[in-house]
Amino acid sequence: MENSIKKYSVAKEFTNYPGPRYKNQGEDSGQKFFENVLDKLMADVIEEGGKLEIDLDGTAGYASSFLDEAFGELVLKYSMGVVLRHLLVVSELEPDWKEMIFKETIPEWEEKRLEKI
Amino acid sequence: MKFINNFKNVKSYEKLFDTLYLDMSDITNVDIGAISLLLSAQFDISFYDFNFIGKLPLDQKSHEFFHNSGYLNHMRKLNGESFAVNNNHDLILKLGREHTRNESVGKAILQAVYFLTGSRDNYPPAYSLIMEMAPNAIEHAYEENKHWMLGMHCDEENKIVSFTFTDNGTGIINTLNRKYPVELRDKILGKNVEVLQDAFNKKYGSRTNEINRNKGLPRIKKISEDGKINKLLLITDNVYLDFESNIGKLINNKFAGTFYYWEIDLKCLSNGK
Repeated sequence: MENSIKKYSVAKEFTNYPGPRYKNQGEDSGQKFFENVLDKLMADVIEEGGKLEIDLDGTAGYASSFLDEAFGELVLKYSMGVVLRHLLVVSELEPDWKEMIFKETIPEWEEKRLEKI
Repeated sequence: MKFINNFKNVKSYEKLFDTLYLDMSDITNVDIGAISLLLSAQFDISFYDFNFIGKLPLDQKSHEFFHNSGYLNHMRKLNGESFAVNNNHDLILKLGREHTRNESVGKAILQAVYFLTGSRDNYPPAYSLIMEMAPNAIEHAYEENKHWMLGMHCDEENKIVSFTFTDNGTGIINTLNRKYPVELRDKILGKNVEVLQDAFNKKYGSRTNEINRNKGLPRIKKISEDGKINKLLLITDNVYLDFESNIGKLINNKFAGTFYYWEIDLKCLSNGK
């Protein structure tokens, strides 16, 4: 399965209305997306040696904190190097989100992860 | 703003009174901002076990605006019965308690886009904007009794949709002072305008355990700068910020909370695509 791409659409498979950062702040939070979806998908593609493509398009929109929490926790658990090797993000309608995830969230959470080691 | 402040201060009389009489019969002009602030203040005061009775404006246009806004959906008649439910989807007030109400916010945006284009489409920048504001109100603004209010008015005459977002929390500046006392320590007293502008430019939160935070306020500013919304205004504590003209000033009447106003029109929608 090496080089295979597992595609996942947030709008089609998780929610049309992504919520806040934490579960206690509202429905369909970034925390819930990480715990219920992203974590398992990433574990599977790492094991298979493939890639995970998350499609952000088609929802009502996002809070920056939803994306920061979901993709940040991914870095905290798997490290920046592993995430960058296996993660693809599609955000054609709002390219800013892809830029934020790769240029801010992932390096910032890697710094947090290294601080904890 | 002065009236809202005085009105909210009745909380300090909670042991003396249990009912407030709100006489609005003389009002001749009202907009979605005023009505959002009023209802939000009433909700804040209601936590102190006050009841409200009152009169709506006699002026027909103002009376209809109150009625159509859904203001009465949050009130009861003296006999305890509900008023007729507002079904006007072009003028809405939505109250959030403790949570963000994603779907409700998303449907308000669909309605706004439908009003402007005739097509029931998403408009992600407007949804994102509110979803930056609501979690801020829930996470940072209150210790208890968390609430926020979204107002939306579809203006047929000018073909614009006006939005307001209100919370009665501690305000952004007080939140920053609580979260970043070290970073703000060197700020000169009275520099609240600069402190607030810096927060929207992501100047705070450089400590490692906070490095990933504070993307929300800069995001709000960017949506405005990109022309995806118009006329973004913010009033919080003693600061008024106009994002379009980049003018900030101190105001005499402090607002204990956070109040945003913005508009969208067809041009915004095309900028947002």
